[in-house]
Amino acid sequence: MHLFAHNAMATSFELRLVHPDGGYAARAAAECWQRLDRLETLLNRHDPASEISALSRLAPGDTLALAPDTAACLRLALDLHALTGGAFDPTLGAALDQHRRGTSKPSAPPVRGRLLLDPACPLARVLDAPVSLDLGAIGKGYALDRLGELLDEWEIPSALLMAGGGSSLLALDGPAPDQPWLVGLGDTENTACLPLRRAGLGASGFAVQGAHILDPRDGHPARDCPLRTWALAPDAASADALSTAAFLLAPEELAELAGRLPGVGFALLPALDKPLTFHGILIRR
Amino acid sequence: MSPASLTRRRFLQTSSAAGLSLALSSPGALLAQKSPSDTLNIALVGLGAQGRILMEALLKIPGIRFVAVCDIWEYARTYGERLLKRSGHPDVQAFENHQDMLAKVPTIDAVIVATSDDWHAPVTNDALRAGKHVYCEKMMSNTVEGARSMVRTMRETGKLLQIGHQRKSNPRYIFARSRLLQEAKLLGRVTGAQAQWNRAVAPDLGWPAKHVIPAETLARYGFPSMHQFRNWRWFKKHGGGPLSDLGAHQIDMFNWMLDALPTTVIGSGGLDYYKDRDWMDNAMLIYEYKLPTGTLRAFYQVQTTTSSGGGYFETFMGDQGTLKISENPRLTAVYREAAAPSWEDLVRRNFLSAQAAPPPAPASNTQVDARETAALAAYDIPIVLNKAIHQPHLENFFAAVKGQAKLNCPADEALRSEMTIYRAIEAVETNTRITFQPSDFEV
Repeated sequence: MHLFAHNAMATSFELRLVHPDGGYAARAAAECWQRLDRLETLLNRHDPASEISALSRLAPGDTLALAPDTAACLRLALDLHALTGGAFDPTLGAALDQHRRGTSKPSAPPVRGRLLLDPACPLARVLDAPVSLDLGAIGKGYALDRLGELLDEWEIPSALLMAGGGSSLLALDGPAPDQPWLVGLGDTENTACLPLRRAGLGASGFAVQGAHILDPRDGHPARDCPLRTWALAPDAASADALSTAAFLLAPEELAELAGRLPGVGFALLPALDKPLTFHGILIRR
Repeated sequence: MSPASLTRRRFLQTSSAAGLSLALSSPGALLAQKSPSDTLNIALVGLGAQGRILMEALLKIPGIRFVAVCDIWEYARTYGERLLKRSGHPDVQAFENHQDMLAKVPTIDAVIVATSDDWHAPVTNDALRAGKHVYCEKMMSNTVEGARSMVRTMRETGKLLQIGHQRKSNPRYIFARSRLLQEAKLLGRVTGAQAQWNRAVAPDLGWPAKHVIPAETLARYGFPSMHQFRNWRWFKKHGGGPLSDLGAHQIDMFNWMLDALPTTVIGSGGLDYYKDRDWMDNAMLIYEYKLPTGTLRAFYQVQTTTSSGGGYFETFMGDQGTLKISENPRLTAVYREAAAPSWEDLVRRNFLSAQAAPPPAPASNTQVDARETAALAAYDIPIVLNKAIHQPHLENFFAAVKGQAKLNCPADEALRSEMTIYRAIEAVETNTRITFQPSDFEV
């Protein structure tokens, strides 16, 4: 197995590639990092040259032609926004900034904006400005999915792709023919082990970066929510977004989503002294 | 909350408490109304890394229709063909050979060339002779003779030939040159310039095993191996090395921003890190310019063994201020020398925007404040580019094709500037000081 690492999107990405030729794996990894860097230049809202930043500078009525990847990621974000009843929300960019600066009080300027996406061609039009988007909770997963496609093209089917130290994962085939990748959930005595193959897994929590999840329904930090959430999905982008939404959705809603959507499941750690709970996920203890 | 309420919430998809909303329009509703007679048919030759960047920029420009793509690598041309067909260009055809493409698609109005450098001249010359306008990536060629042949063909055919020095169409660069340097003379007497583009160590480019080009196809296009096809930039038969790949953009900016050509160049560089390559992997140059205001020296550095913290930029240094400019707006700033006259009037006239409020003026000349070291006064250039960085240069080309603009970088002007790079490479390779001759710039 060959390990490769690269910094992008304000975090680290890792590839674990199983291939008999280490040089071939290294060249495939280099191609992946080139693709990743390109995605970052499109999706990073902190980069003034990105398309997400460009959208935030548009005036009402302006239309911006987007790169195919930006349009695809935004459409996927909108789908997941709808699917989770708004619990996953990519429109929290400025609200998140205000929250982090401690200015999300009534004195803060209201965040207003409306953006229309064309489903048929890569165009976006601002109806009300400013439009401040944050694809942080889906962009890493979206990138992993694109790298996974690239690795399939390079005929490296056995691979595990990670971003953010494990906050987003994409498993291709396992390290051996009958062996999945094993992913630990949690770091307490409740730890469970999830077998992962041809699936994405997203993890969100308060444990590492503090209270960074805002509830888009009231614009305030989420309350009474689990310590950590994990979401399983057929792709890493959906898993990434669903793990954020899982903070805000009730257990019944998670069960409904897991029952309705093939390949989707959730795990929650309610508190350090509580056991993990599962919806649609089979685990190995 | 019950599942029923989740369903109900889904209907509220376009609103959030953050006050922002995102929604789908009806398909095609955001397309601008275009006159079909105004649409230009274009072909893209070369779908490697640079070709794909140009393709993304081209997809943002209204009024053009892709009718053909061409690449000797089936993997690359299939990628381009599929992406374009998905992106509203259903009629695009894919070709291995550019002459075949020119013969079979007579409706092409303009050709975009992003092949390896050794194929720039053959493809450009063939396209011009076929009556097409051409946008060709820089460097014009890996040989001076190749570049000169392109200028000759442009003149013979009367067709337009734009070279891809895209900073010449970047509104921030245009503003900095015309308003800050030339009109406001913001920097005072410009005495020095410096630019660098440093890249971290990177392995040779590879290819998916199932997408190898057959050896006879590679040989037909002059490539002895798949390795050399993918890594052509490092081989003298195909490319010009890092001074040509990266330096060309920035040394062109020395010439353009200073509105002058250098008189001499010295350089040092070598293949000191990598193995099995032809070209130097690092180089440093010093140009001398004789400006009306006096002598200026410009230092250029390119490394392919370290990112040196990242970023690439050009710096113009004067006795009243310094302009640091880059395609990356985060690396762009203007600094005022402490003894220079105030720039507040320029801020009021929107030539500059102040990065931070200056400290309050002292109450009198006999009373001062004691505080931590003041930062050098820094200003931003109040120009924002909401487009892909190659887009304005391509738009300028299409506007010129439609007779609505002059080319910002026609081939004859480009060649004069590129001669300062060809000869700098010679200075490094021969370890000599080169004095430019008038004949160098005759085209």
